[in-house]
Amino acid sequence: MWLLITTSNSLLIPLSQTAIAAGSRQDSWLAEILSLAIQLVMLQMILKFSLLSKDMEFSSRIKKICGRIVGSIVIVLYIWFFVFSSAAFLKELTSFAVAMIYVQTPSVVIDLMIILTSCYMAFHGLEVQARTNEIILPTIISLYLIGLFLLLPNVKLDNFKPVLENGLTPVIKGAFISSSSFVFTVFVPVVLSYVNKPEECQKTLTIGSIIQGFLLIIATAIITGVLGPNLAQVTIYRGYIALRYISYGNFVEHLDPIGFSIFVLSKVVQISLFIYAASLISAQFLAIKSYKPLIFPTGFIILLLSNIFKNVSQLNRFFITLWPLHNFFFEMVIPLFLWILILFGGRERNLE
Amino acid sequence: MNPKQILICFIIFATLFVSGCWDRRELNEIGLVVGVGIDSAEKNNILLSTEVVLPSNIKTTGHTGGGGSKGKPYTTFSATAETTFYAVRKILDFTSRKLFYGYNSIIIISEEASKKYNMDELLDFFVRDPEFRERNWVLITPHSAFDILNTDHPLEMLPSKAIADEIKANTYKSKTISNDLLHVYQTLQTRGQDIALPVVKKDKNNRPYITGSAAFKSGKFAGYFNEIESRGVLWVLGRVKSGVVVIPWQDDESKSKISVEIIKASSTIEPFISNGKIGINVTVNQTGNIASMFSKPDLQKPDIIKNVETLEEKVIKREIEASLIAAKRFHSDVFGFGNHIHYKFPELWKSIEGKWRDEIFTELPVNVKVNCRINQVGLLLR
Repeated sequence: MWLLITTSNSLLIPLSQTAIAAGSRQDSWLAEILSLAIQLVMLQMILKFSLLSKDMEFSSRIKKICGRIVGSIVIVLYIWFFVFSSAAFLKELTSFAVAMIYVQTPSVVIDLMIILTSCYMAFHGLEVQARTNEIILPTIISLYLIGLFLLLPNVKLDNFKPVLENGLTPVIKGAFISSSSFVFTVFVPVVLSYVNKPEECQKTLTIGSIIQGFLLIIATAIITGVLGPNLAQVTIYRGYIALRYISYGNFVEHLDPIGFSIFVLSKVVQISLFIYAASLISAQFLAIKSYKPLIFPTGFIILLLSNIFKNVSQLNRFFITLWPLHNFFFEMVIPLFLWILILFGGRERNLE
Repeated sequence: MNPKQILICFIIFATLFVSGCWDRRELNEIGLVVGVGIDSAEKNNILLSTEVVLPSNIKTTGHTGGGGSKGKPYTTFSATAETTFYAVRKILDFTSRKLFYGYNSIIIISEEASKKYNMDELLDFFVRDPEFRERNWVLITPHSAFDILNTDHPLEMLPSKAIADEIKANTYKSKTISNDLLHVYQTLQTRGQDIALPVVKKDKNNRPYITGSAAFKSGKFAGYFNEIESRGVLWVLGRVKSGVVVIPWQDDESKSKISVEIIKASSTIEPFISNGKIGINVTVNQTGNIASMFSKPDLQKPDIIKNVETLEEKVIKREIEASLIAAKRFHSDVFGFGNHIHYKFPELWKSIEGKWRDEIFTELPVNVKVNCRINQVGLLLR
């Protein structure tokens, strides 16, 4: 599937400027630059690992590397990752919708709408998702750029001073937390065997992540510049608040639906890809011929799992404390573990 | 059932969930709020008033000749409660419709309430609630906010709209420090700057008008700037957009005055340390045109324009110094000098932050330098 670039790129569209939330304050944009560097390193690592055995199905590859028992544990962990991440994304999206627009709508209705749409997309497989993305991704990026461009006149440069007030520590912390949201490094090895030109992945994905990195840097800088470091840190949906502030001569104003549609579109794509990945691995693991019967159960589990987050402030705390560690476990620790096994376990020959 | 039938059933089922949002409200079921007023009431209560549009009383164009004005196109409701949000809900006791605040344009706070409460406490609800927009203007009134919402304006049908437009029109004379909700809240979160808000009063004919501004110290009301002091603050902040500077040509008493229209103004604030003490250099650059002259010097002579420029610099410097004296009297750092010290000397700022307003700011030496340029003289040469 040559469309992988669009698929994976939409996983990247930056929505929450986590570096700001992590307390990097006026230096958040520096944190995002650092985070882009970390992400590129992670991407190269994961691609090296995945391209090593590009023709083999994910779960059989894992089993070959780790052996039966450890392999099963790793696979179950991967399934957990996709299910749990989707649950977190779903809760994020729903609580945003309920907080901002559908104040009195029961959140389970919004949950259902999103899950059913995502399941439907996942049901039709990777190619359909990729082609949908060909429409959605340019829409998201152009809306994103329009919003940022209209915000430019409201940016105050004073909001970036003083640079590095509290030293490098908050910047590194922000970069760590921000780069942990780079979840598609977990997604790529799962679907790589279904891509028709895997050799081109290296180039396209690198370009894609550089584009997303720049978008995130610009967005973080502009939001800090508009809201100021103090207000940006205390608001939950900072990008949305900034978009609402756009006003040109009583004519171009009330642009918050743009922010909402960017958020919904990209989160739905993310969730549907993760549902697809989760049910695909489960099917391979359980030796079921087709992944399709597993999609709706997966969606249902995600729906139930999303309720472990009790309220918005707990969710927000989760996103800057536990979530980065959880992600880094899957983005760094497990790939490293597999890589070490390949290098020293003498199983490399088996894969070739 | 074959798969197609199942799919069709599924689609029909799905329509149950895509019918729209729960709290959808039709336009004829809501009351549009255009202005909110906050007064303080007895026993730590808040008196919250809302100005609601009466659509049926809005006269449409084309009815000019016909009699039958149906009365005011707005009405005000108010309720007393312990918190802002409770008061908002209590107002529903008197209204048949649910009120919609998305088109609210002004928030008026009475002087009394702003003395009693911190602005951070009063404005929290308006920032937290998703319905209010960040472009609301925040104003202070020495009268009661309820009265201001009930004043009539000859040109506009709704007093709130009139006040909001007056604030916008004020950029043509730069005599008040206007701030919208986002900036007010943003400034309240920073330690090195205080807010200043425009003041709305009512005149003899019960019409609202905007004059001067109110200074705050750490979110609490501190005192009033008159119009000259307000513009002094705006010069330092670099926020003067347009306006008139009147220059006495011969001496202060005579009537021979020259007025200069401000075209462009900017400022730089630069903190410095000399002999271990902190100080501020303020440089204001202004470009203007001569708009009218009561005396008639020959503008073709090279010295004359230069003379006008130096005289104008003096006038502007006097305005800035007046504002500095007033702000120091109120212990209110509306200029954001604290922020600039924070930007340039972060370490020093940490040590003086606690005593900034009461000890350092009141004794702060400020050097003001004004550069004026006059580019145009209009269509007449003398």
